[in-house]
Amino acid sequence: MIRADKISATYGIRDVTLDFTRPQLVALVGPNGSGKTTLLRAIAGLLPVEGKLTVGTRIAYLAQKPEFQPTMSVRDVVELGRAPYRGRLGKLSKAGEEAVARAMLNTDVRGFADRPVGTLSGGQQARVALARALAVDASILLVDEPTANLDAAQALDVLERLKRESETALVIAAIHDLALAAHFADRVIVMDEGRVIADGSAEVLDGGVLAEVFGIMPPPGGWRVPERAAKRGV
Amino acid sequence: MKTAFLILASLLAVALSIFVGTAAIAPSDVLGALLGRGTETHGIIIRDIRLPRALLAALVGAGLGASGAALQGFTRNPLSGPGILGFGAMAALGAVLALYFGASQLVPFAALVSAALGAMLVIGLVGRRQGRDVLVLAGVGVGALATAVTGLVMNFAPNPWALSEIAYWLMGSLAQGDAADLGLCAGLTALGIAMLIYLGPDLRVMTLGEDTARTLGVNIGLTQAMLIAGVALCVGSGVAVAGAIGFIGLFVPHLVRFSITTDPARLIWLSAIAGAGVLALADLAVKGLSGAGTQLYLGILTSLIGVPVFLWLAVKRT
Repeated sequence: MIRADKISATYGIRDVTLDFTRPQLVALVGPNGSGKTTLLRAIAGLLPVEGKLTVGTRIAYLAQKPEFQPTMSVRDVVELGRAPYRGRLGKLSKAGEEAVARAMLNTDVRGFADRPVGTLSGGQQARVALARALAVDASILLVDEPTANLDAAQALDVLERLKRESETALVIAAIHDLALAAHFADRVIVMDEGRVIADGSAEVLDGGVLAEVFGIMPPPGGWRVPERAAKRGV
Repeated sequence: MKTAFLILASLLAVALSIFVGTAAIAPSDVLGALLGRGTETHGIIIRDIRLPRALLAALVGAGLGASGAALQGFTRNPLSGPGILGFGAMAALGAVLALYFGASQLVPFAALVSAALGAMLVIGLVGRRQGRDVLVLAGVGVGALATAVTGLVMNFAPNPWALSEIAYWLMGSLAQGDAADLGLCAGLTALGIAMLIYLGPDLRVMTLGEDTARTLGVNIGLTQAMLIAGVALCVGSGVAVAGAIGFIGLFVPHLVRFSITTDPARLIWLSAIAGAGVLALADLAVKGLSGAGTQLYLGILTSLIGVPVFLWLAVKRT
């Protein structure tokens, strides 16, 4: 689906070679400035890159700080995800309406579909941004720090939704929270100073790579994410 | 419903400014003159003076309204107006140069050429970079340069009459507007407005930010180029026939946003309609307030009304 052969971008990544072939949840981890965002932006086609980068299908990109026009309704925002398929005057196609409905269902935003985005909480806005990206119905979803600015329960919620999406789409997410990355990711790519340091299953977060890159060790007993309480409120 | 009301109100404003003028002509005679009947004097006043003037007000207002709405959409900043790209100042510089050299009949042409030059200058400065920050920087720079050179020209005005002619011209007026002006302005403004309306859907996607918009298929560079061309056409042709008309492009989109919609795409054509009505009304007020010998200038009035309305909206919205 994506093949990167020794790609480099100014001030970001150097000689990155990666191959993504099937739907799964990939966590990009690494310290601030390690090149996670640059790599995502390069794959999204937002940066000029040197080297050979092939992106097979349409991507959906979810920026770290999603922007909205605060007065726009949630439904209208989600419908913007259909922009690539719409004519200038065209109404949403049947497939488009279905994609929007599915995206709103999968992110639980239907309850406030007609409210202006600006009136929503941060967690709700994060879900709207995710719904907008899902509405693209792309087979590759690039997500930059989806849990930044979210509380623990909201972060868990977003990761669970991404995990569900990764059954049918390749989801590549830059994730700061190593516990979430270790718990949810099928594949973990550790980056440092623009290079890929480790690439493998979540176990790469258990070993010496962590000490080398972050200068920390996994907690005794391994990475754990919070459990859901019986009554949930996100 | 609100949209229909806006269209009706704007049509009414334009119609009203045909029926009202210095010479007292009965409404039935105005209608007659429009249909080509009645006395020759009425025919001249209505068909050659009032009709072109009313249509010019509508056109210039529409162009400024659409420009303001499109720029506010592209920069995602409600404080943007046609002024920030500097084309108005460039057009004014061209006109002022024509007046300086005593070629007042060349004023519209010089203004247009100068606005086009301004557009090329902004495009050149922006180069291959894209996005609102670089666009605003280039526009503000070009505008400031044009204003400075305009000051220089006035500084070296050959005589007091030339200076006063320049000063009055800069205040903006439609009093001298005729069919020739209309012919010059209509096509260019219509083309400009059409280009800006065309950009509407892209501006709507751009509310998600430039990066996200690009991943959704918006070509920011092309959008930016069309925006520059569209605004230059609207503002350039507007200044060419009416001089500097302040604040319409800034506050008309706010009026529409406040009363009808905040959708960046619909805002463009609705602001064009609202701008037409507002400038027609303003010109009507100018006619009413100008006595014999003391002419009130349109640009002065629009700024005087526009600024408080704008401040009121700004305070109410925040």
